[in-house]
Amino acid sequence: MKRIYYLIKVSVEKSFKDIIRYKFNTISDILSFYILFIALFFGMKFFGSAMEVTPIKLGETLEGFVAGYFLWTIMYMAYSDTAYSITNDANKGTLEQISMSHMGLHNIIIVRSLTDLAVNLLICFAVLFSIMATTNYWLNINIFELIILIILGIFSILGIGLIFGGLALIFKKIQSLLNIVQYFLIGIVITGAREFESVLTWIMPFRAATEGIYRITIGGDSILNFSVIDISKIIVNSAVYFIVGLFIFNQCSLIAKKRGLLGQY
Amino acid sequence: MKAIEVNNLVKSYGNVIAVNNISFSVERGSICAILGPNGSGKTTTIKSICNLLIPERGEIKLEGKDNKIATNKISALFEGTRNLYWRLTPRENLRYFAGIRGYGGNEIEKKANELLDRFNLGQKKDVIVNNLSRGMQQKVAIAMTLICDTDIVILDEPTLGLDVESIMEIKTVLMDIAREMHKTVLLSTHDMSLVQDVCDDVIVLNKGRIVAQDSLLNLMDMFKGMTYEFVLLNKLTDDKKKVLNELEYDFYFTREDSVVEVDIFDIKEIYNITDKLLKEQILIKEVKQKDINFERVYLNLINEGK
Repeated sequence: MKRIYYLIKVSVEKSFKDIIRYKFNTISDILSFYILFIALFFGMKFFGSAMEVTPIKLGETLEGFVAGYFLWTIMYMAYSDTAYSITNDANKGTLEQISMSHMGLHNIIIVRSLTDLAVNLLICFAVLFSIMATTNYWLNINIFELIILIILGIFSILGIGLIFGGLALIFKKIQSLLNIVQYFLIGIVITGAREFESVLTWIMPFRAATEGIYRITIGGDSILNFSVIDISKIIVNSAVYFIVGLFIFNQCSLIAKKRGLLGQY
Repeated sequence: MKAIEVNNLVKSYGNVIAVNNISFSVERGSICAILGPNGSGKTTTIKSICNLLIPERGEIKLEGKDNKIATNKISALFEGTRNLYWRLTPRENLRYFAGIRGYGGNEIEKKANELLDRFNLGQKKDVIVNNLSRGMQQKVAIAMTLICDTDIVILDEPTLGLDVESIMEIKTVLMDIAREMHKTVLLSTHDMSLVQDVCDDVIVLNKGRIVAQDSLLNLMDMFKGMTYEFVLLNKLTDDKKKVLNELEYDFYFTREDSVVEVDIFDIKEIYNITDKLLKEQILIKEVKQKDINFERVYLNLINEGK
């Protein structure tokens, strides 16, 4: 247990140090998320009014769009931190060092992704409040409940990150594919609450958690009103994607070790 | 018990056999060099030992345990990679790499300070690695391999790209690791002066096979007294050099064109060489026996393998 504690401790420390020491990157990330949102939001509002259509094609309401964008930001960060973690370490020349730990490469990547996510959540919430202040569309933000749902659901995205991180171990230059996947994530949040068939919310990664978050932020609901099925849906969806991701990552890692590809970039 | 035991290791990439059924062992507390020309299988062997590569066949034991379960017995530094996070300080790097192996707390903090002080990095422990000199970065990377107190340390080209002063420092560090910290060091290098100055044992690989495996002293003895220096009366022209190259001996041309060196295996061959040189009208001023250096031993071993 102490070993996990030390792993988490150094991972948190590194996540913070990365944010501070790569400040230009951090600031440009925050600004680009903010500017992209503002451009999309006012663009939708302008064209929606001009064409007399509801500007809610991307979400049920403009509030839905704000919530959707917030969720996409979180998913994007969780996915890219995991998937790019491998390529970043290969580029930095530290992948061999991480791979040699008896804690296991996948465990280090997962813990690191979670600590990065925790740090990124702080940024996401800051961006969310800036967005709400700018647009004057205020969501029902119960941070505690949102974090519970995000944590329960985000393992599905980590699973997807692990799948593509594993593929990066073998195929190396898969940036284009990694980039495309992050836009597919938009599909998960693009529609508002309860627009998908129930079966799709079971199947699509993070969708069940997204539905829950929409219920709280837009519908003003509380997690206490969620049924056991609602919560189970989130957990099962998350667990299945995560286990599949872990399995594929470990298989890819094995193939990379057999082919002598670990660390080469 | 040996620190490292490699038995019948085979690894190929497609049709290319990188390592062909090699076996060797490394004594505890010794510094062993694994040498060979590029593509001889050194890195494949090292990565297999570190469990970063899965061989087709063979068994690797670290301190008597299978290398797949004995990853806590070994740490390594790899050639051509940074091995460190450049935006972290030396102390933060050491703390991080200990942490991902499940170590931490005051003990690691104290050890990191001790190691950095020992390697004369005490003043730089809170400077971002990116801002350190190449030699200092390499010393931090070596300190990183020692932070978890593993029994075995593997160093792949630890002096590559370093200046003379840094190489001298690394040599001292390596001696410290083996003699004072009682670690087993397996190093791969092309720097023969490093081998001659710090290593106890040597393994020479060529084309995936072991061509020599012995103590450094034995290998040096094997070739001792077999290098002769012929001081010539006149400088050698290119034509004369060409003629010498066509003879059955391996002549080494020195910086002065009036001196050639040759390794011989029987003292009587000196007379043959003298005859042949005279026949080519290359006049000899003096013949001297030379102390051999390890570089020459290595070249002989590789050439014999051919």
